[in-house]
Amino acid sequence: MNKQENIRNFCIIAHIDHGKSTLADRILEKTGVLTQREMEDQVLDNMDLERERGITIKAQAVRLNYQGQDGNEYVYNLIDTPGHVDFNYEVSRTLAACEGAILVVDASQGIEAQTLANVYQAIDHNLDIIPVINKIDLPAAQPEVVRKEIEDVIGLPADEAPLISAKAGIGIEDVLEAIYKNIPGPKGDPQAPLKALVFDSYYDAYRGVIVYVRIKDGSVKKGDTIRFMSTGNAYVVTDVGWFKPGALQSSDCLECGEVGYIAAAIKDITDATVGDTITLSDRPAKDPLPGYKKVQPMVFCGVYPVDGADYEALREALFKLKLNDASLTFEPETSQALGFGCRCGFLGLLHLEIIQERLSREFNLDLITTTPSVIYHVYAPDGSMSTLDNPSNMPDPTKIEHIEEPIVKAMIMTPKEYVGNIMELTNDRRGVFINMDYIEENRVMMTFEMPLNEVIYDFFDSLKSRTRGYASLDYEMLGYRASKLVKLDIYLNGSVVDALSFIVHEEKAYSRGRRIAEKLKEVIPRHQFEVPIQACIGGKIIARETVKAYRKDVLAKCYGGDITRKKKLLEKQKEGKKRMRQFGNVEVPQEAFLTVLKLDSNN
Amino acid sequence: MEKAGLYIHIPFCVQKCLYCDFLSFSGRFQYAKQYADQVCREIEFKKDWGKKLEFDSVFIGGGTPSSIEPEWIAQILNKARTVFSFAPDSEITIEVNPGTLSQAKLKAYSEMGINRVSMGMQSTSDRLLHSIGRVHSKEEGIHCALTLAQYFTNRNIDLISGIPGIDGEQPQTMAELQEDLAFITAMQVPHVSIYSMITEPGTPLYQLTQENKVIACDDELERQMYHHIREYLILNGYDHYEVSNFARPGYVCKHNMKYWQGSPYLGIGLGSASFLPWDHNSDTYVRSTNETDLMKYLDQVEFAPKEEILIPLDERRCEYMMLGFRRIKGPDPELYQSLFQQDLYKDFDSHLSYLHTMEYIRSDLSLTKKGMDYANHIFEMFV
Repeated sequence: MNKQENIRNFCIIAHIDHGKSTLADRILEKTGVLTQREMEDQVLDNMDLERERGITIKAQAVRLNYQGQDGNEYVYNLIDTPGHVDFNYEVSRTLAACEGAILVVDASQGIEAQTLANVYQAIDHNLDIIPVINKIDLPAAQPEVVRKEIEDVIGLPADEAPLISAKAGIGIEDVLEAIYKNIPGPKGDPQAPLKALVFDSYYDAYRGVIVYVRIKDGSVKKGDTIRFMSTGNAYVVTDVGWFKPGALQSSDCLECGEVGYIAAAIKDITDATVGDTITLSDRPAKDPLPGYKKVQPMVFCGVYPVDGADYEALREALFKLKLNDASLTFEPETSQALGFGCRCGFLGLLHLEIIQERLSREFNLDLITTTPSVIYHVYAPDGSMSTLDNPSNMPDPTKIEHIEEPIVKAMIMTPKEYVGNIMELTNDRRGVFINMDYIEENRVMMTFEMPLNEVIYDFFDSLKSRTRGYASLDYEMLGYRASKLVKLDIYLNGSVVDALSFIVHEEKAYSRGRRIAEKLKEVIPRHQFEVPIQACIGGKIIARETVKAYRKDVLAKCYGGDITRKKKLLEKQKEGKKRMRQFGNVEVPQEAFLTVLKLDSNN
Repeated sequence: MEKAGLYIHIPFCVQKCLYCDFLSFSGRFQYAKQYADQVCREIEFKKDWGKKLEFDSVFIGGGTPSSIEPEWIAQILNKARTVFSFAPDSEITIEVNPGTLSQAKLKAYSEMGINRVSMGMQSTSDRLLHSIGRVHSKEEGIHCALTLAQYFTNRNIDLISGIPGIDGEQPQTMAELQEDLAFITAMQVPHVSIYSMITEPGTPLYQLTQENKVIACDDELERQMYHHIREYLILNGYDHYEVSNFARPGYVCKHNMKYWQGSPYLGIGLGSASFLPWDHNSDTYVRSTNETDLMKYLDQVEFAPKEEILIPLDERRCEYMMLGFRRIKGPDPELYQSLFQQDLYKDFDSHLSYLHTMEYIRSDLSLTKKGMDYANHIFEMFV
């Protein structure tokens, strides 16, 4: 059994690429959980997608034993947190499961907007923060400058911040020592009724939902009947335990202060939402832990199977993904153009892309995603308000008094030479400049008010490309504001394609409509007749392109040595056509829908 | 004995054209003699392969076979004749290019039994010839075509339509294409192949296209050209017998027909492909490809194929259809019956009725004009 005062629960906060996962790997290695050989690089990011993108999507946890130089044996629970603005709520729940955080700052890059946002969040959760300066072995490292920055910008004392190189394995011992010295052991009353914070969960085909918890009060063991406080549903615990890298380790009991898992044959996945409190059925806690909220998706789009027969499979897959992802919402939707599908809600565009990729990789689904939308508030002349997240449901203009759109406060941190580029970009995205602070001589924090619907259209990508990757972004909701918004429809060969409609600011409708028409002209293959493409607002054509009738669609040559290759070529073409969607008599490739999404990325 | 085709590859060229994706290279003529010797060894090595076959067509292609000494061609041809069995009426073709020919060479070809010559003219426009990397001028082409006529009746000329504008040039115009066609009829060439330009990945043309240095021929114009070629040549007594091939009566290329009729063929030389019954089950065929690296080929003792693909019966049937529809007449039901002892109409009932509804083919399986323009839709149904 672990003594409560010898437990340390902590997470690592870092900006993308500042070395969070590498440091986690080193800690695992140093504490002997894994030898270097056993370890696949970056053990904690165990989704392929996470490794490829260098980001953490799912929270992960692992228990380590550390022999402190003070002679005590410590139990360290390292909880890895997601690192993108889309996943702020997950981050907040993870933070709530910890008493401390290691803040990793790159010795050459310094503090970034996201780091700052996460640090503030950690401070809000009363975590004790250990700043660590990483990558000190790089030629461009300026540890003293960064040390000062941490003190000036965040206001954290950093004179004792370990100087490390996670990659080279320098200074890891200092970090391990600092953890038990600077982070307090968990508080909480072992005798009180059980309060366990759910900070993650995943679905196991044999055991049902595996719930990741932090025991705040009391304890839980196999055979107990637990109750989720938000839903009131009760289950009998079949197993409890803690985390080894990539595996679960059963134990007798989860005690106060510990981090571990509970399995209770939970089939209904919506019962194990992140942020909920678990208590014991026969001895319930009076109040749940604070901070639970039903996460509100900010971005919506339709997700449709390319093959209509896959609709059930899509629903099933979304159910499974939702298990690990309380923030994903979906409900059935029908499109004239695309048939049966689901209207899905996401935290942001990255979240959307991740779900889309996982659906295709893990569930082998071929999907079409429609243009994403935010939630608009539509006011009728009688003053009543309705919400709108699907352009297809936009009421007739005569029934609209005005429309309001969500506005966010966007904080962009950047080296000062990119200020001009950023002003240009935010201007283009209807951003209103609020202020600019110098964080240090060469870096500034710019604040804007921006419509969320401008932020979700690949704003982050554009920002990165205009600042050579140096700028970082964070945003928070400010509220709703009236705006001149119109619905833009796309007609192919005279019929509207509902899945391509979207809501856009009046001033930008023309240029956007024109560019969409141009792009569609490129991606829609030639048919045996001319295909007019029209962009319209309320029946008024604002842009028109035509896909000409002819194309070369016959292989000019095919002789003996060539037959194998030509067959492969034809197979590929055939495969491509299968992925097309038929609208009336016009075939539209999946790409077309993505094109509308990524309109600005080729600038 | 089954009638088969023999293909012999000569990869040498004076200069590789920008659009060329055949296995060929500029220069390296120092290896030509060694290559001819090695081809002879390959023929000897594949003696047994040819045992069950009678060759009634031989095609010496390239590259530019006329760019190497005719005596080496003779050496190869004689070797093939001694090792394999040739039908008495064999069609023996050699590919030639202007700028690599002489009266002496042509005389030698004729003496060694070659009876058909295929000349790569590609265009009669000097600006286009130059821009696509051809080594000859219009003048040399005309001279070459005239000389050929003195030695051979059975002649072919290759042309390209839809030539893009490369590196500052404008694409081919309709007027330029019309001149090419006038040249064909003026020369009284009994066979002509006109290929619409394909930009194949890996070619310099492809690279230039990626670099935005190429103005593509407009798709509409390309089709107009195709329609014009067809009308003009039919009017002048040619039969449009394959997507890109036209012949006056009696001059259909016997060798190339083999590729579109599911007949067996044996390929000899660098990178050549063979299509032969499988040893273990003659319902299944094997399509094999030779080594493609010259140095490795020259060192080979065993002549192991670089790639071998088994084509089982069902796939052979589909392939027969796919290739059969390259012929304007469509696949031949009688030949199908004799090859597979099955009824073509029964085997492909639903495919054929779809193609018919789409007006791609007529009830006699021949391609409609629409079918010729969208032939890939037809081919795709059988892959």
